[in-house]
Amino acid sequence: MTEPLLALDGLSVALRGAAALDRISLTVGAGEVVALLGANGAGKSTLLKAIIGLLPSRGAIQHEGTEINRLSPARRARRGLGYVPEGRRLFPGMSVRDTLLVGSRAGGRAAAERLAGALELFPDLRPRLATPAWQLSGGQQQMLAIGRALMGAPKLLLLDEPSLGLAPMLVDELLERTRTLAAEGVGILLAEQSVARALGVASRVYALAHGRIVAQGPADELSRSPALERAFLGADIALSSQGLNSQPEARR
Amino acid sequence: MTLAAPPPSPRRSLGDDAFWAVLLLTLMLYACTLASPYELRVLTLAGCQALLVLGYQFIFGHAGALSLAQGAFFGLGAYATAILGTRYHWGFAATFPLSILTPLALSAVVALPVLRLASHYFALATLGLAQVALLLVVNAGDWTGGALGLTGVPGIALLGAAVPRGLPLAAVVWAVVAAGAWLSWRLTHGLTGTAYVVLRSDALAASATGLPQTRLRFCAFLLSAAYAGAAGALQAHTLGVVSSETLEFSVMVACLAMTVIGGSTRIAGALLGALLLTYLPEWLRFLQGYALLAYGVALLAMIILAPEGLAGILGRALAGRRRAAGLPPAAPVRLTGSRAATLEVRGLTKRFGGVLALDRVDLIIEPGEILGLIGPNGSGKTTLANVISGLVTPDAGAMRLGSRGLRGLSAEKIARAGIARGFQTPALPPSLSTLELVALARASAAGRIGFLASLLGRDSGERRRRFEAEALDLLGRVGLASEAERPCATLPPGLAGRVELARMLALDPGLIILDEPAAGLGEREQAELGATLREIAGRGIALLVIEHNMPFLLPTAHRIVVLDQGRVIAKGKPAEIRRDPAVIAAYLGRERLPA
Repeated sequence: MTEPLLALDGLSVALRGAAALDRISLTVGAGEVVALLGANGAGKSTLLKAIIGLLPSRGAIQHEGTEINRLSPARRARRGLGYVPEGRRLFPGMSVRDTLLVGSRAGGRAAAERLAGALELFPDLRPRLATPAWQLSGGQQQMLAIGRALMGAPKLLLLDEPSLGLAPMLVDELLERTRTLAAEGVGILLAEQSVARALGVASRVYALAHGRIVAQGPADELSRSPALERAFLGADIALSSQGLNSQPEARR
Repeated sequence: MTLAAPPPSPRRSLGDDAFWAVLLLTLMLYACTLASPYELRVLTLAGCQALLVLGYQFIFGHAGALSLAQGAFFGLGAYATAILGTRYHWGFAATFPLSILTPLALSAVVALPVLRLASHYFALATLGLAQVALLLVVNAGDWTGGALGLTGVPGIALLGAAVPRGLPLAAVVWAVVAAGAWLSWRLTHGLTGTAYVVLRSDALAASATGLPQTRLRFCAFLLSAAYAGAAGALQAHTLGVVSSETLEFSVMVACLAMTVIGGSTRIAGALLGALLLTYLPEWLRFLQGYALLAYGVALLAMIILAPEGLAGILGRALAGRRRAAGLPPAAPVRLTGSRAATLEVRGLTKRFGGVLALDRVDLIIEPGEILGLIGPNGSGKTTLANVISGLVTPDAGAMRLGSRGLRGLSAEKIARAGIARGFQTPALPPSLSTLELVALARASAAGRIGFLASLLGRDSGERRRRFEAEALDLLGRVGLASEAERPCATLPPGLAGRVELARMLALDPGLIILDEPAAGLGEREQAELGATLREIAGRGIALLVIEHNMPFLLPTAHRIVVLDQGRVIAKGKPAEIRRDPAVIAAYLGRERLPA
């Protein structure tokens, strides 16, 4: 058996002294789309940040069999980890073209080809190549953030809610493109709120709740699993069911 | 995700009685028994500096603007006292108020153009002001004595009796410092002080909270000038001499250093910073030639070791002894939708360079209606929301809320007319708790944010508790009662959106504009949000909801408007929209939608 592209073993993250992630173990193989499901605050974004190295963590992160948990985020990116962060995190004054080219970390033909590929996926960006990022609409910014990650020709792509702010037609195209990338051998770890959307594109699924994996398995099996339901119903904070007229509890 | 309970937010209070008692007793004991005449003079000068720093805290600490004119205001106060005292022989009762009024008037005049400037331009403009003041004083030699300055400034006379130098003068100066400290505490310990936290953290958050930003900044600038003038006048009386040195940049640098080292928002910080930096050179005098070097090293060490200032260290040391305020019982807020009115938009057009972002858009939203706004990315949805909320000026068209025309009104005025706006990325001040933020919005809607209100105690004590009780009720309605004490910075995106909604409700709006409220929410949370929005609409409040999430929007909205390339290409009931071929071609694609 070959090494999986990404293997986490007992990964834990503490935020402000409390456990935000508790001994997470998972694998992502080359050519595989793996979805991370979970309610708000379950730890999906925290997990992706720990994998790319933006949060310190304990435990093992192996990329193609090599331990990378001591590497800086930049070194991890150079090994082929691509990351589309929550909230886009663009450089406001940088033009669309420069943002994409910075993401490629390559020059010449390779960069030009990848640029063409990114513009093919997001034709909306083509007439705006000289536009600074802050002038783009929210959805266009999201396209740019995804395009920037693809420019690095990643072997492993970490996507944090990539469909956020995209029009429905574009979401379809993006998920389609995700499958194409996987078919080309890229491993993809996708954090997603929408269960239906995630199950539609992923081959395997991990469900998180309160920083722990509470369910895992092939997507088609898990979609019928009560464990998945529980992961979402386990969400701590729900909108008040009593409504606007009620007198809410003052304190828990 | 399990998170540690947030630390109880300590109420800022004049309390910490032990600290103040110790500081006061030490100063008095030192002044009465130990100090030589020279030392008393140093203590008096330290008082003048403390007053200067107390004032500088308003603009630099609270409003968060790096003003470099504080030294100039100080010098103007000193010169006003010296000129009026030596040339016209006016007494303290006349010169002191005029020394405060002179920099105050100057700051009011320059504030209008200068306060609009962004951070470093503001710093440069105030630096320019200081340079102009210095040049004027040096060149108007007939009045000011030029570079030599004025000597023989009379001492302070109170009720006809001269206050002798030494202990009595020190007592008078420190009494003024105490009065200044009390006023500063009075003005900033309530919700108005909290408003400044929002103001300096994020302008967008401040406008979304309904804060009168321009007024808050203006008042802080004026107060800083007034305190500086008083400090300058007292120093002129203490030294008996005023020269252009009081206007030079070194005064400003010393003031900045005292504020940073003491702590930029706490009263204890102003006193400690002024005392320490006045006495440090005295203590280091034995080093002779190396004294200046040691002084520099000591300052550097303090800034590295205690970036939040001496008051910050003290605050942490005393934090354990503070009583947590605890939460009040929730007080129900009646959402009346009393300000609800029909929003009518006609022929709205906006061009960005060559791009037509909005092309003759017509739109009507009735009270109690949820209007969904959809369209491809970049079709102009957010621009339309920005135009309606006054953040972007349209090129053509009309907007009215009820009978009131909105076009040409500032974002602040439109917000006060009853239009509340949420953002794609919630604009929340990280350090405030959700309760503080919503209470602040509530106080702001009641017009209780500002120095007049805080002077009258309308934003503190029992009144503040009432705003907090109402805030707790509003947080409860969006399901966040248990998160009331959580700092906004630690909220995951889904919960941040709910805080924003509670803050909007706190402003008692007639129209709420939401930009992708369902983004980042799970299916169940989306359903709950939909139900909450329907209930809000049931109160007569109108909602304009920008959203891409059709499974969320279609059952939630009453009507839907579709934008494409700035134009309205379809409008109608959700069921009609989802069958519209033009909408399917431009936007929906082949997404499967719930029946």
